[in-house]
Formats: sequence, structure tokens, C-alpha cells
Amino acid sequence: MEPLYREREHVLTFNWASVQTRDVIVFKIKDRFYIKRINRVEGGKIVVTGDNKKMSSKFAPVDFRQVVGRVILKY
Amino acid sequence: MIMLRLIDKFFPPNIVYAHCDVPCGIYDPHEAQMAAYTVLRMTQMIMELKASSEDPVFDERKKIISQIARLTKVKEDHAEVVKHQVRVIWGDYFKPEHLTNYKNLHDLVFKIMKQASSAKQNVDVKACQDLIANVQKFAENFWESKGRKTVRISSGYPTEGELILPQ
Repeated sequence: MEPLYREREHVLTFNWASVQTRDVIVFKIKDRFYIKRINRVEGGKIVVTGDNKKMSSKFAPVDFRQVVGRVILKY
Repeated sequence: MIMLRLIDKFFPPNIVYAHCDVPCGIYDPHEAQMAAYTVLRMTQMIMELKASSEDPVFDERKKIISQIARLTKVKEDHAEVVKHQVRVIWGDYFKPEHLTNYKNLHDLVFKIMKQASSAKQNVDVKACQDLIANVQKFAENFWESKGRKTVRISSGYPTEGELILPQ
């Protein structure tokens, strides 16, 4: 997710509102948390991408129930 | 911020990853094709740059140098995107059994790597077109290996040319 989010930075998420395209979200798959940006919503699922196109691995579309929250703060 | 970091010391937050190590089966050579066309377009735009005279004034030189730097940066970045996308599909998607049907796959990927480097090193439209042609062959092999027929459609890009898409 570089250059906006770098290794060892902390993020705060907010989950009281629905997420939108271009939001950066944290989601959970099999007990592991991931951070990605929402590219689009398709067929009721969220298609996510990384900001760092050189490094980003591709993810299968994410379910809304897997979303932990929208990233609102980096510190 | 300091306060939040302090709280995190006592209540450590969960670790969040930006990359997954689990192959998800989502592969598509479309991004490689788009990136290859971007490399071509940047090359064309560099070649189209013209100065008002043989010895332009310093301000005009600065502007041209700045434009070349920007175009070159995008060209470099997208040539790397081509290499990355092709490497991922080649390394993660293609399996040894595919090689029976695609005997030239390794050679094709090797050519793409070299041509992408050549497109970076030079301002050469022909090198970019060769790169696109081989990325398209790669895309055709990829879709064919998944049992999908492909179609060639007009790209609609300023570069013109075609895109390989699954039917």
C-alpha cells in the first residue's frame, strides 16, 4: 500500500458507516487482517487493489461481512 | 498520535498485511496489455516533443526536459508493471502440465522480459510494438489454457492497436 501506508505504521479503522469506492479498508480472511483500497463493488462483493502496483498481490473479491472497517487515521 | 502509540504499547493492535501469500486464482493479463500500450504511448509522446528552434531559450529547455523526465518515469514504471504482471501469471498460474501445450512459454516470457527492458532503455516504437505483440501472445496462451476463446478488439487507445480479451 506504499507510498501512503508503509510497513510498521499504525492505522485506526472506523466501522459505523458503509464503505465506498476508493476507501482504504481493513478486512479479515482466515484470522488474518489485510489492508487494501476498494476498486469497485461488483456483484455484491468488494473488488480490492493495492496502491503499490509493483508489489500488490491480487485478492479474490471480498464479502462485506469480512470488512473490519474503513481506515480513518494513520499514525 | 503519541497518545495513540502509547495506548498501542499497552494494548497491541492486530497486524495488518498488504499482501497475501495464498494464491487466489485471480489472474488476468489485461493489466500487462494496458501497461505495454502505455509504454508505447510514452515512447510516442517523447518522440513527438519538438523545440521551437535548434537552440531554444533556457525556459523552453527546462520545460522540455521536465516533460521528458515525466514521460520517461511513466514509461519505466509501466514497463515494470508488464514484467511484474507477466511474471506473476507465469510463475503462479502456469503449471508444468501447461508446458505440454505451450512449449514456447518460457521463451516467450524471456522475450517479454528482455523487450520490456529494451523499451525502457531506448526510445524505440518498434521495440514497444514487439513487446505488445508478445504480451498479446502470452494473453492468448493464458486464456486458451483456461479453455476460453479470445477475441481481438480495437483498443480505442491513442496508440490504436488491439486488445486480447476472453470471449
